[in-house]
Amino acid sequence: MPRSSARPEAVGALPPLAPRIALAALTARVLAALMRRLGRGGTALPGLVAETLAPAFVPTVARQLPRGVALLTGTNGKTTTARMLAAILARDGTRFVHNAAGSNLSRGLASALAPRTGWRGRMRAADATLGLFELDEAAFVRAAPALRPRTATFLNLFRDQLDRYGEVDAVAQRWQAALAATPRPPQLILNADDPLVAGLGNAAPSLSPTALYFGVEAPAAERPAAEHAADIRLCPTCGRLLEYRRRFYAHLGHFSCPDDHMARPVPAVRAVTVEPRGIAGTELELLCLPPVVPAAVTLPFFLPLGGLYNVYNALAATTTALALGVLPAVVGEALTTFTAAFGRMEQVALDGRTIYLALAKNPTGLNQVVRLLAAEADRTGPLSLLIALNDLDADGRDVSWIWDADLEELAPPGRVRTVVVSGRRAADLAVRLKYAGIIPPAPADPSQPTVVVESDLGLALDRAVQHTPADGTLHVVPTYTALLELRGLLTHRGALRPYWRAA
Amino acid sequence: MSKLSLTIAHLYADLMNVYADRGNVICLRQRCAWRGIDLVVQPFGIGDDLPDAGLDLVFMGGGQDGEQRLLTEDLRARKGPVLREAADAGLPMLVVCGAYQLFGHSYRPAVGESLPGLGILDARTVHPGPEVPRCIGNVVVAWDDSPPVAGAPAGTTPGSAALSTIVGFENHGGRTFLGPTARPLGTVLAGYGNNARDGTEGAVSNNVFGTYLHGSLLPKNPHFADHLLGLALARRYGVEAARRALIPLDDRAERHAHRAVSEQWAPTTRWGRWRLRASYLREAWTRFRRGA
Repeated sequence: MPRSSARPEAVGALPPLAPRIALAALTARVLAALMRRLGRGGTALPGLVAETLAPAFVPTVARQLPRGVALLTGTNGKTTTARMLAAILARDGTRFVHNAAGSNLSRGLASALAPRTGWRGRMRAADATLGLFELDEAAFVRAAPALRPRTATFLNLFRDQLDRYGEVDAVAQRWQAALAATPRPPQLILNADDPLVAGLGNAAPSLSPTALYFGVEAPAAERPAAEHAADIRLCPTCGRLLEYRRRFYAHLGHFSCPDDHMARPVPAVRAVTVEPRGIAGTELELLCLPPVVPAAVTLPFFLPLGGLYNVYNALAATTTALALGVLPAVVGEALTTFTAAFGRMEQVALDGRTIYLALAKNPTGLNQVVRLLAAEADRTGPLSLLIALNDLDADGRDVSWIWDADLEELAPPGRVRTVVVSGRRAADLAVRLKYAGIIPPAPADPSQPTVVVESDLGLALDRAVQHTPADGTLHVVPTYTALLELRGLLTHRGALRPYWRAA
Repeated sequence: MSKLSLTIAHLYADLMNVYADRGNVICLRQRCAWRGIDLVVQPFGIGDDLPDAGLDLVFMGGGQDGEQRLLTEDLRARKGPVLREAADAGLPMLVVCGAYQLFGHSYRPAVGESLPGLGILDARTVHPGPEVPRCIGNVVVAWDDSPPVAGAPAGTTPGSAALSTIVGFENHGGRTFLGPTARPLGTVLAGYGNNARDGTEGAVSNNVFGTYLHGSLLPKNPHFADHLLGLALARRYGVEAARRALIPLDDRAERHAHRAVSEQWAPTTRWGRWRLRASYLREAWTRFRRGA
């Protein structure tokens, strides 16, 4: 296995540890062991307790990692990208700690770190040399300055849960402030095609290393017209509308300001060939250029995940891995054998049917899933669908966003065979599907898809499975808490292993 | 009878689109299509002049601060005079959230000086400062005008007859206070409304409706959508023709979504009130458990 270069300045004389750090680590480990014994997959609680006992737990422990911490944030794709990066690092032979269990708040980091500490609360170097952490948009702002990451990867910035995160401009400003407040600025890895994310590179403090960018160059990925859910289309300097030479989805594309205040930066890692193969995946060719590699290299491989959004995730994981010193060949090997993360086009078998779980939590994410499903329907015939909309805190209390997604793409005849509508806001979703033309305005037209509205997810799953042909495929599109609930149901029925025991 | 046709002006459709307000336009278009009425949606962006005649409805949604700044001048100088005249002449308009604020006399942001508005609605909006929490949550409003006004078939559409509330979701920092000539759209039964203080929500003047509610607003409030269509049809084709054209629709899905919100947040039964209390307790418990 190729080994990557160690970070020279990271390990010094370790500072004396406060006893409360050790106490916090111990308590969290005991709690985690207890919860496992009880069969509960508590991923946040041990970390929450550790942070309550010692508020500085995460930065104190994480800063002992000799090869530093790689942080990852953005609106969509965090979990998939972090999992891709984990697969790459595992193949590379790097020992790392990763908040894989899904909590991307600071307490999730604490839960991941606690089991890797010795009895005095010190990080055991044999267990992990590198930290790989995904953080949600708001948690990144609070955690980054104290963590002093080695790399910070920004995927994208879409509108998501306006009631919780606020509008996208405000999020970008908070990211910038957090980076400015970080001593020893991290290596930034940025999406060149997202104007607000790419803009972070210009605003970086002068001492920071030059940002590395990734982007899509393949003309096949292009989309003729702007989607409705595009958020940022104004130049942050002059406030004029950005011009696009190419547009991929949402506000991602090759943009420039009409007054030359900003333009898409030149990416170091580019997707030069993108050939979609439906839900099965995408044929990819990445071109990696210096300084991220010593000499230009092309990396052709099959990414076993469909959708252009996963191409961006693969680009981000590749760029970050290369920046951490992993060899390009290792990246290709790891990504081509990749399996989907928790509920992100995850494949499950139940009663002879294949179930695909595709999380959709904001208009851009839902648009991507809808487009993938529409293409799949055109290849394989009308689909069986289960769509579930919840409005708990983790989903966003405001369900307006379903009106920003282009669900009309599923309306043409022959795309949907049956649709089961579920979740706490099933009634809202049914109205949306009716006005999108998927559910007929007046009942009893045999040429129209069969529609079931059932707010109870368990019953909805039963009905959806009944309506799916015996060896057919059911596509499930849930919001976040609906996904958790569904996975619980599937686990109960023996179709899934509990996620805290999954690889 | 020849086919009826309406034209709706969608102001700054590409800029003021942040809270899914296009759902209102989708709703109006479909409710017309299901009745065989043509609805032409005409977008008017920055630099586009509004025609003096030929419009039957005006819609404008909410946007982010940067986008709102970009269009304020255009709205005031280029479209303001036509809009003011049309409002006086009774043209129905629906303005939501950020647009509602701009249709008032003035908007004082969290920082910086006060911005002048169109003054079509007798309302002033003040942002109490960046550290004051925004008004966010589900809203249920008792609609003051739910009995029909001037030619409006709101009460005559059988499917909508029983709805007297308007439901939606609010998310705004500014607090709006009404002047003497504006009537509120309704009284808040659940949520914050105009300013979280006086229990009013929205403003109505002539046929101009301003409100903070999105969700989107009209799909879940089919009686309000038909009220707007009725006003527009009555202006163009007369009250009788409007009444005939607004064929009752099967609104069971819409009413179900409406009632799901109103019964959860402003329950009318004792059982519902207990459920609401229980949900508050459950929520407090989850927040405590997750340390939020």
